[in-house]
Amino acid sequence: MGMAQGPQNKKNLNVELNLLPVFDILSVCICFLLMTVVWIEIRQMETKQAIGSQSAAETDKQASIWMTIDEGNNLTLVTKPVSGAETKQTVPVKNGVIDFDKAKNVLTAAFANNVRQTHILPAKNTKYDQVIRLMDVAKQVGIQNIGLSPI
Amino acid sequence: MKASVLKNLHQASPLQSMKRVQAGGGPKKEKSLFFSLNLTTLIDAFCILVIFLLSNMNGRVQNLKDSQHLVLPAAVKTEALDQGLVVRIEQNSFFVDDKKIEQADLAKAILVAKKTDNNSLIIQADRKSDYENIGMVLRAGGQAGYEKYVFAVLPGT
Repeated sequence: MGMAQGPQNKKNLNVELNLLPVFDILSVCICFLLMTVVWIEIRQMETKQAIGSQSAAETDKQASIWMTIDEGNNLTLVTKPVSGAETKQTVPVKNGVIDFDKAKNVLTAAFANNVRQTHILPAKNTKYDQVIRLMDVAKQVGIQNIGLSPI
Repeated sequence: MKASVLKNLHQASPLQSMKRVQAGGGPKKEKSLFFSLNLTTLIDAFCILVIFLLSNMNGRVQNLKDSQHLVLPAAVKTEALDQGLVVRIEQNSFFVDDKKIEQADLAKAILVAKKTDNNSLIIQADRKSDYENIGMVLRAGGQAGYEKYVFAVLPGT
């Protein structure tokens, strides 16, 4: 009395996957992304300027170094400690541009003497990349607080 | 069994008629010109490319317009570019949010374009520009009330 079972039909689990639409979608994705991708990443260097509302009393007096670039790209560094006399050093021009190696040495020595802020005063005809590079050197040495003086 | 797309192409392929090379005498040998294209490896390569390009986007939007007259200076100690008002200096002309502005109207234009949600001014200038132009933007930004100035640079030495 049992049910006679006929041959069981096995469902074929093999599925043919058509890869051509997948290939199409991926090609479209790649074309779109190639058109929109940014190959050169632009970065930033930041500087803060005090505005008129900040009074001298609000800012703590810190040792600082003032860097003046003259029209011949000679660099004058004046270290102003919290107490004591100011010291002045001059880094002469090298091959028509600022001598960044010597400037870095001076800034490193200043940083070792707890100088944590600097102020840059370029001349009118100083090239922009010279200023940026000087800021970069100061940041590399560890001086993060950089001010830039408008002419 | 369901015929695949490639198999159907093979049957109608013009190569099919050219594959038989008939030589005088001797047994006929048919050189098979049919080849199967394995798409799996191609799709693998494409997937990797797509994932790489997606990860390269970083979810950040650069709001700086590229210009052939403008080569940015390079710096080592840099940070990721934030959002802000962009002032571009190109061949002694000033552009605030891509609009050309006269030098006398620079402070006013920066003040008008100033957005309340960000207080940084992005300066984009050619590396050979004179600092005099940069100084004008810094002064105008100061008049408009900006404290934070950001210089657009390229990473590297």
